[in-house]
Amino acid sequence: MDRQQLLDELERIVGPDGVRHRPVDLLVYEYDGSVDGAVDTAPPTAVTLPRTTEQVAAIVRLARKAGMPVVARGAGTGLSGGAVAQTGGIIIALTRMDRVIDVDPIDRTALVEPGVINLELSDVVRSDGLFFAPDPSSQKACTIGGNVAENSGGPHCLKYGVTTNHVLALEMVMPDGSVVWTSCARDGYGGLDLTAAVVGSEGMFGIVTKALVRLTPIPPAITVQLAAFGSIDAASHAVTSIIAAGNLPASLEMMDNLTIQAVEPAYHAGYPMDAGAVLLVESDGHPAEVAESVEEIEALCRDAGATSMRRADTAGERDLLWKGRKMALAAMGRLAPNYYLHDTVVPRSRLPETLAAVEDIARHHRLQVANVFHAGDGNLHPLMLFDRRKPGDVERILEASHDLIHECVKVGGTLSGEHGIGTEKRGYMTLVFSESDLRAMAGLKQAFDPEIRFNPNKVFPTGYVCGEVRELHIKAMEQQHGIVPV
Amino acid sequence: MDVLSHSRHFAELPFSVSERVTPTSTDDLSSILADASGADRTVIPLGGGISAGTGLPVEGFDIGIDTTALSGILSWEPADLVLSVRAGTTCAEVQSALAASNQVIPVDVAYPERATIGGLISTGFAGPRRLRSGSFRDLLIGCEYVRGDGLVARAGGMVVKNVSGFEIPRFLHGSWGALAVLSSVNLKITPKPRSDGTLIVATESTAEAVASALKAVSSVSTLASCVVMSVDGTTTIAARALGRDRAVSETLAEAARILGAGEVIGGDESGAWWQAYLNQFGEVDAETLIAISVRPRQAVEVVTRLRDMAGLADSASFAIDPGVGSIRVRLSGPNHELVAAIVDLVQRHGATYVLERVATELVGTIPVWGDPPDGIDLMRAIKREFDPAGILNRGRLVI
Repeated sequence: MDRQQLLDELERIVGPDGVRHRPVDLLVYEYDGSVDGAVDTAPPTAVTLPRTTEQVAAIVRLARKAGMPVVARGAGTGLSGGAVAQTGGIIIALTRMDRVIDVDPIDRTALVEPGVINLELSDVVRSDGLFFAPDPSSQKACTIGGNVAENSGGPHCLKYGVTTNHVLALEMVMPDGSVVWTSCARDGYGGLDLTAAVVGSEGMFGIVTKALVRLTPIPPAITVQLAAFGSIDAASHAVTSIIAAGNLPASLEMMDNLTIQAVEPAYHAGYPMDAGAVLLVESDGHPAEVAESVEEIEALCRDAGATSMRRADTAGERDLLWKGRKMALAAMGRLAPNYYLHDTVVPRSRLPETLAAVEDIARHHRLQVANVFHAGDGNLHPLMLFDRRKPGDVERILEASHDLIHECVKVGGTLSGEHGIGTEKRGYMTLVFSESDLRAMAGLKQAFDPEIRFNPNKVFPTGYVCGEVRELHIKAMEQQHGIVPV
Repeated sequence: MDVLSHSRHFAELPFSVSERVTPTSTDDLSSILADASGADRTVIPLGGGISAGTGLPVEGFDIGIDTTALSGILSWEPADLVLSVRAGTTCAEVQSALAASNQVIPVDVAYPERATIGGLISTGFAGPRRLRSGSFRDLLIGCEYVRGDGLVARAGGMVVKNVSGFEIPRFLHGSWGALAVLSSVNLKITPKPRSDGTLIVATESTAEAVASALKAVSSVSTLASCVVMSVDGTTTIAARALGRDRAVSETLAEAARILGAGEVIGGDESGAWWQAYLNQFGEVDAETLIAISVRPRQAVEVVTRLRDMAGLADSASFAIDPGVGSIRVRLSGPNHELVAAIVDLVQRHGATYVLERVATELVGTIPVWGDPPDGIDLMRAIKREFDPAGILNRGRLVI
């Protein structure tokens, strides 16, 4: 099959307005939200924008006939290269499959297409007193399909869990073009929990075309507290003591002084400019529960050396306090032209020493690092600031990343809490997993996708010598040549 | 110490086991499975044996792996709210250790002194607290497992948020030992609620009780659990709140406005009520036990029809968790026609069921695992990757 034949076939499936193939149209699809340099970019052969499951299945069957890889893509906000067609092939952009098909307030579920934007789902179900709990920072843009692929988190997963805790079943197109519903894992079920396997599989197992998701009741009371501290260290200790005292806030976020310097002048959230760090603590639940927790948290913060405390009970006040946190990434433009947002996790109790190590690493590599992260989960997000135009800057952040990842793994942490492995961190997989661990993961991939059709060259380390993993790579490499005659 | 002291004696199992082995390490477990795979000897892994009676009829297994010697807490960092425990440890042992730091695995299980953590996860156990805080599936953050071919692998880790590599721990949850035997698991744990209270309301109609329980679940989001139990013709609604004193009593007061006035019990008494409830419907020796899963919105109708079935009202007990659509039916005898009628009803509502306990003579006539799930070919392909010789639970499961 030559290129023109392929494009003709694709147009037959999705119509002329559903295919992109001119170099200028493909440019944007070379990237996702990751830092160019940390993640390889590559142009796809073509991009398709289907509207139905049947169209997705037909595209997959065509790709199989043409011997081409298929990469699913949502809003492209991913931060690990997951939606980049690293070996070329067909990108299936699911942004036109954006219907909320059904909301059931009694079952507390919603049936959605993968292109539905995360925040829009919560907006749709708010009148039923419900929300979709996973709330990644990109929730105004990112899609449910992308959340499913990456098992996305967000500030509120301290209490509510990540995407996988809120997905009940998935409709998925398999590599042979067949369509499977992964069943609800409830009582009365004798099969395997395919839903659990697919969430977080980074688009390597199938193309999700519908998701049945769980909705959560909006809690009757919500209070956000802002606590300012003289140092990151003092704030970290407050985090530990809040949790140790038996509190489980809905979220527990930290921002350091550099972040405050960027955020406060831009958004006037009311963060003290001279604070070494601030904590945002959100408590929710029964009004009596929240009122008492808030008092206790305030006392614990003061004991840990909080220099000031504020409290927001109304939606307007809460939104203002949250605004600074949610817009932190956008505000970084005030500090530097570029930033590299990292995502690693350490055990919560190791936060103080890890944050000190981050500071050392930054100093060593002569980098400015801003910290804005999910402290309650131990999920670090150091933002390394740089200027891409300056020679050597990208290399320095990559070296610093390397040191940072090693440091986190050393204290019992892991590579990624919510951004995924993709191509960004596949080289580090052997730091936390043995050959056997990876072999078993490769076995699972093999069962779902024996011809390595979906999203090749992700998650597994390149050049990793091991039977099953190597086999995966050989197949991916064969496909790198793009269009192989049938 | 007799490692089988709290596990079901193999003699009581509904199938024969030619050889029983008791691995004490992951390496042991790996050798046993690798050798069994090489020799094509079939294997059934067993924890407390509570769910051993569930499944397709099997004459016997060559090897019964008693996992209860793979026992003990491997690491527990209270400040991190994470725990790593060997899979054969009983739930009660873990909970009593955690209690020392006022922490808890937020899942209530049947027979905690016997149920092992690995068994609960493998069989996908979910108790009445899943309405809000989920089941083990939601708490799993990592595991070490041994595949059918003996390969030892780990996935996940000891942090509460982790997307490094595929979600194998959660995938093994509820897989009934089809793919691998768990050797250890890592769990998120939570602070122990400061106060525990349950409102018990006696009522007449089971179907009406289900309707008001659904209403309570929808409008009182701070309820931790809300179930309807019907035993010997008496129907009871139980609603539980966990948290600080005032929040618990106010939540139960709100629930009472929907469910009706009743008795409020607190503290240990509340915990004991839920334990008795769980044990009654996790009954190992029940003659017939059917687990049904419906959409919550269908719960009232399905329960009404179940109630209407001739003879059912007298001989059946129900444990209904309407908020999650779970209905457990216990029958006092091996009533073939009734079981067939119940299965038919469930299927007509597009719901699913498992015959957890059923008289042997029925097993061949009604599919105990319900209809084959969608994606069964894929499941079999996965099974071949993890257990290429097909030794694990051969013949007992649908895959």
